[in-house]
Amino acid sequence: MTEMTARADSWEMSSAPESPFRRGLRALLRKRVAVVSMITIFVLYGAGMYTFLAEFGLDIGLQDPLRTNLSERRTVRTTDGVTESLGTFSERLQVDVGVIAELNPEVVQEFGPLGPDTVLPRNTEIVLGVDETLQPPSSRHWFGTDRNGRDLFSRAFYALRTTVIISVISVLLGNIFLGLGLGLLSGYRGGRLDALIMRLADLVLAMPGLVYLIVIVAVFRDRVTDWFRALEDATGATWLIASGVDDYVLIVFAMSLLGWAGAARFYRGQVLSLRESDFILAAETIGAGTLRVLVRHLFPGILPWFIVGFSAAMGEMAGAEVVLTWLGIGITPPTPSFGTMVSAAGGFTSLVQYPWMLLVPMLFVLPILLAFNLLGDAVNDAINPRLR
Amino acid sequence: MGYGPLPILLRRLALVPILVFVVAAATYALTHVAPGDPVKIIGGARQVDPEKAELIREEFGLHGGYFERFGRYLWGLVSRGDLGPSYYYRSPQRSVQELLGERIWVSAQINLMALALIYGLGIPIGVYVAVNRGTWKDPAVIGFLKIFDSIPSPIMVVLIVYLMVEVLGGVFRLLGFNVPVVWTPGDPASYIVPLVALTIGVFGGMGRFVRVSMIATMDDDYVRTARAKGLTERVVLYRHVLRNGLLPLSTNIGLAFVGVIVGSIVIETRYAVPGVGAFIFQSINQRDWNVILGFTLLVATLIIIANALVDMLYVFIDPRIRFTERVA
Repeated sequence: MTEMTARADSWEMSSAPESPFRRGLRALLRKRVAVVSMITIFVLYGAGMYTFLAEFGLDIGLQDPLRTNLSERRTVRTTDGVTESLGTFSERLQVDVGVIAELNPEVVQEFGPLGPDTVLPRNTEIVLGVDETLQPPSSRHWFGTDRNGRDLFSRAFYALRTTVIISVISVLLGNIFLGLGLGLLSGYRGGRLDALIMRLADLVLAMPGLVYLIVIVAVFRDRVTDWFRALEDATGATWLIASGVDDYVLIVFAMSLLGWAGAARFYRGQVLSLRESDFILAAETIGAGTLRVLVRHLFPGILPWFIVGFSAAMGEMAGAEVVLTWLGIGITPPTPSFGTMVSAAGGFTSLVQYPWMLLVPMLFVLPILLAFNLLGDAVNDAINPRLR
Repeated sequence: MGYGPLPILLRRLALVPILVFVVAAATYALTHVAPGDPVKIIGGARQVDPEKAELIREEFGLHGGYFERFGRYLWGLVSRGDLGPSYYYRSPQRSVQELLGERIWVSAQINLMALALIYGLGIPIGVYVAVNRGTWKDPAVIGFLKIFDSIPSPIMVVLIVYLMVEVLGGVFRLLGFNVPVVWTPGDPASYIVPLVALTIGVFGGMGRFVRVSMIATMDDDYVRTARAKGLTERVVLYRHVLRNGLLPLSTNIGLAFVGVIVGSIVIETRYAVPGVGAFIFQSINQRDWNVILGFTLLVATLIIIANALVDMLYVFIDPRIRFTERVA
């Protein structure tokens, strides 16, 4: 008897029944693969976001990803018979006097400490940059350098930023806004609208994706660049093209245009299985409009499936950037991205001679794609415990 | 629409030319707004004098309004199977169907072998992990295979070449051949790299797909009955589970086919395979829009037909399916 009361008490203790989402989340967190995948994604995407801090003038401890380290020598020049001081010399060539002193120990030895007022005999040869091209990983360049002597470690960080921008925005636009939106609408409303959207999706799916991606990018590239040039002229924001924003817009546009169809069909299928549920009927009965039913009632129902689709799309977009850029139609060099790094790495002969050039981008791309891939699988398993 | 399978199949077939037409119209419109005046691309100069321009327009069917041109293109295609002249290969003037025809055989060979390999190895892998579900082997095998799915193909091809030449080169020499670093005409070993590159990434997803549908079938009542009447595990698996478990795969064939065609652009370009994939990429850079138009039409038609066939096949394979609505 006492035992029974105790059990009844414990029943009351756990108040509201756990929602399917919470239950799914718990099942997911129990899976080691899912947790490791999520941590990997957070760390790598976090690293990409971290580089945004540099835009606010903070020192983030990374070298400039665009700074080339080629060997360079210049001589001190004379104007109107007057030898220029080190100050004007450094101004003319935009190098720091401190750097000059550091790079030219033999000059320092001969003429003593160098300052802006130091006047060196004319035609003194001064080293402005040491050749650091194609260096293997070292303590100065952790991941080595590329053909232009750029530091691959910091380039990788900035490439992560490109991946973050491209994948997040094109998934937001293609998978979520168009795909999820049209999929929900199509599945819920049915009828003519459904038929129209699904035939459109059929059409897009019948087109060979990569070919159309290339064609769309080829067709619109010049136009988009022109628009941005006009925009730059109008607003005075001259950093737009220089930081590759036109590339981002073009790629995101092309990928969303082709990527929504698969997503819409996938989400529609999930909606169809929920549409006839009692809770939808209940919501409709109390007068909820289409938008409210979609957002408040249907979306939570397909949330786990949404995570599956979202995860797959993120990985896909991150991989597509590499492929497109490698084909020469994605990100334009020198903007750092894994695609530009892979194309700079060259082929088989380069791999034998300078393996780090190809292995560094792979070191980042592989975990990102794998993590999204395995996370999607893990969520799928968590939703369908029967298939475990 | 419960009129039995046949009328629905006919409806499905009737949809094929309509879809092809819409794809053609969309692609034609896209190439129409493409940068560069075709006359200048063909004439090969910034300024083409008006008389010459008129001649070029006449020769390439570029005269008249937009719909007139599109109509002429379609008519040529339907009546003579003509995909139009190439803008780039001018001396001697080549037609698109010739150019594609010369290259399609290499691609088709590789793609069909790849498809056979994907199914031939993917199904056993899926069955293996399904049988071993709940043990460490199941996630380990799938996880391992998915690593290859996570390497973008421009990197993958180089790594495979490295593996074949530097690591396994000695083994291949013992067997009497060398895998070339780039495609070498007339060397059968050239097929190895593109084949591996096309297929290696697919096994993880394929294995998982088979595994899921196998496991869904394994719990069915008829399987329990088969076990209960004393059939060996082997017979249950191969005679009963496998047959039903592989059904969903037939919907996948169309998609796999598409994946294999599309996947070969990067791989063919990187390995210098003289196939359609590499050619189409080259044509985009050469702004040879007629070639691109012809190729996309060809592939889209193949995809549409493949999907329609798969849908129809499905009705016959699985009599439970009655096409009241197209299976999405």
